[in-house]
Amino acid sequence: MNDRLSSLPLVKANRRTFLSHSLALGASLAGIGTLLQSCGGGNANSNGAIKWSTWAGAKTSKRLQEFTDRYNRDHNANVKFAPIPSYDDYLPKILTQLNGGIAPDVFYAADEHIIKLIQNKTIEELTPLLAKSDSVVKESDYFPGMWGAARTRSGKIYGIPVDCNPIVLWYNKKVLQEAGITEMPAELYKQGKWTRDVFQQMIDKITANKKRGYILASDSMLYHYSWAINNGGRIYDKDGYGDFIADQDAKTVEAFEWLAENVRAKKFAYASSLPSNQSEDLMFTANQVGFLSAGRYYLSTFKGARAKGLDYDIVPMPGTDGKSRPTGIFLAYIVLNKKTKNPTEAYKFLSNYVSKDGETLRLKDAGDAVPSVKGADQVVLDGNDPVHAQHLLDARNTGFATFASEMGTPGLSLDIVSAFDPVFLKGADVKTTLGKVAAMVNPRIKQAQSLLQ
Amino acid sequence: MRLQLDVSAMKASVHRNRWRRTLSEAFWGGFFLLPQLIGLVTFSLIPLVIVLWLSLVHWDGLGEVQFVGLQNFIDQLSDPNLRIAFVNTTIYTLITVPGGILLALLVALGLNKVRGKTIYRIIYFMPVVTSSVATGVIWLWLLNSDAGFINVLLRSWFNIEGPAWLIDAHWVIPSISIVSIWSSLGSNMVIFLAGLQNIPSTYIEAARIDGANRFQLFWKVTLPLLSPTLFFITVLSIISSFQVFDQTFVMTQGGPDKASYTIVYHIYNLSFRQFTFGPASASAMILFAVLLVLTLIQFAFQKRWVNYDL
Repeated sequence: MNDRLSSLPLVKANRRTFLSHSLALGASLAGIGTLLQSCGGGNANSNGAIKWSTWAGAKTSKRLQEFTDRYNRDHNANVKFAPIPSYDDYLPKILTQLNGGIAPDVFYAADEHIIKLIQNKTIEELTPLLAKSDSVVKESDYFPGMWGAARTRSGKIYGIPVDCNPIVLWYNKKVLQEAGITEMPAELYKQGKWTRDVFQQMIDKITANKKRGYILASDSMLYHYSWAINNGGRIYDKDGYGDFIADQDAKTVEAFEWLAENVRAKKFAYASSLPSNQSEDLMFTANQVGFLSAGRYYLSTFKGARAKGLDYDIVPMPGTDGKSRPTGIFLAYIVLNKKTKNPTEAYKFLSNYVSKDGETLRLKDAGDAVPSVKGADQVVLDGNDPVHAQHLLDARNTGFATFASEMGTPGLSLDIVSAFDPVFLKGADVKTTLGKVAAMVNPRIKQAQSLLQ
Repeated sequence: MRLQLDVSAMKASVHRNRWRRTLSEAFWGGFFLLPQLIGLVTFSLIPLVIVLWLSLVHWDGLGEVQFVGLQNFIDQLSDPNLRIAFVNTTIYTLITVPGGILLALLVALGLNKVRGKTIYRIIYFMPVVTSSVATGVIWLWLLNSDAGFINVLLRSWFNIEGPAWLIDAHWVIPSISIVSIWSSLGSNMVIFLAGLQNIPSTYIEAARIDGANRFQLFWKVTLPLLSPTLFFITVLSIISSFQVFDQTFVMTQGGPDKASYTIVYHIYNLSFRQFTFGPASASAMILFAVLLVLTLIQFAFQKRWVNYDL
């Protein structure tokens, strides 16, 4: 048998030939694969094409793709949309792409991320572009409180707010009525009678009826800051570019103590103490809570629950003295990659995206945010849902982005939230905790302060 | 003379051929190992060197790199967050490793003599091959303090009010441990099962003939002979426990009040939330050093209790 096999010339040369041919084939395939990958990826810079990116789930991706397709048709452009599904993965991916020189020409920057991009000079300063006569949008088209960390203290703008979500109080009419409340907050606000004391009375009645009065969210400090400011307090000095001074401000301390007292008395629920999958919007639609603070992002959820009997409306946060003051606004910005090969086309797309027409197109019908640009308010008022939707626009007009010093230090905001967990979960002293927070925050914000001058 | 020359020439020729064959086999052996070696170097050794270098610099992922020497290590060793993370991770390990090993051993002992082992192996192994994110989400529902299956069961069957598993600082680590033990049960069980089946039956029979009862059989014969497997699982379990991340990321985000804030979560927080890759890499190197020391200690002590003789 062996003799027969070895007499065949093919068998003797088989192993070496096979291996060398395999090696050649493998190397070729690897080369072709690399070529295909480099063709498929990277920024679409050839022939005036640009690429833009944001974090977006399936529903949002579809809407933004439709916007992109329409822009391409209307402007005879070649814009490609490359969404990144997860917010947590977004910045690491963008940073990797920026390092590799294949980042999109235009992309979103969250308020907590933009400082990194300004610091590393990877995004273009937009101030001179906004000032050009042929720019579709101007700096004055946006409300002053929206800039946050996207604008330095000296006025240099690096990102334009894509839209916004100002904080208002949503209330469940059924829960309030069942608690014996006859006059709804929006009516009281119109009469100038909407104060924190009246809000507290409603909370007491709702709690007596075995429901939660209010849910204090724990994914951002903006909610706490909004309560403090509506109490007449201050959080940071120098219009948000300075130091954390909340621990030294009596009204801020009082506001935090009021929140803590209500959580301790179980009149407020602290979101961190709720089971992870029992979120505030679920509790609201299940008629288990009277009030929650949120932007417009829950509108589609609440609209969908109307068929199941949910009845809701909104009202500004009550001030201690009856005057409602600014509340926080959740924001994201759109920025221009400094290394884009098509800066004109890229800025044209960027400016159209945040123009009055662009925001109207994006936010009408199923939109879940409030326009950041002046002149597009009708998208919020159309459909009369909620009934007092004007309050969202008022909150936007006067509201504030998270303070620049805090947003300019990545990860700081969440660390401050964690630092308050002992107050709301274990009853720790408010003033002591505010002091500890100040001691943690002020050294960390030094770099942001110098960058944002 | 001519014959002597011929013999010498033959010997030299044989020697040369043997040398060529050795070289050829070494070449082809290396060639076939190359894909694995490339993978090891590219995805293990090079990243390790890069992390070591990153631990000595300040870098935020985009800007300039600034060499700071051991400053990151000094800062991290005095960081209270790292201390909290180490305490939490140690408590987690102390619950998960003994609990997981004991349960896996009991299941393996139970399955060792059972018919239809394969079906049971598949069932127990399913959590191992399920995505940790998916299992985290499922356990979020099971451990819901109000409407979760476990508390509803405790309430309706035993009239016991279950704890707030994931939102009570005292229960969050045991809760995550339960999830980890459940997830890794299958893989440890399969390894124990293989170890049990490798024990020669002659030892068991001899012990029975000598009058050993079941406990004595297990304690004096089975366990010593299973000790190499037990050692292997212990070493790997401790290493993987110290690297817990998926459950804390999906289920608790390190809360409540940092009660489930673990070392790898701390590294993730420093890298991808704060964009401080230097301190994050320093923490990773500290974790590496701790695990290396723990593993060396285990290897040093193995002589006292691991029995490799058959």
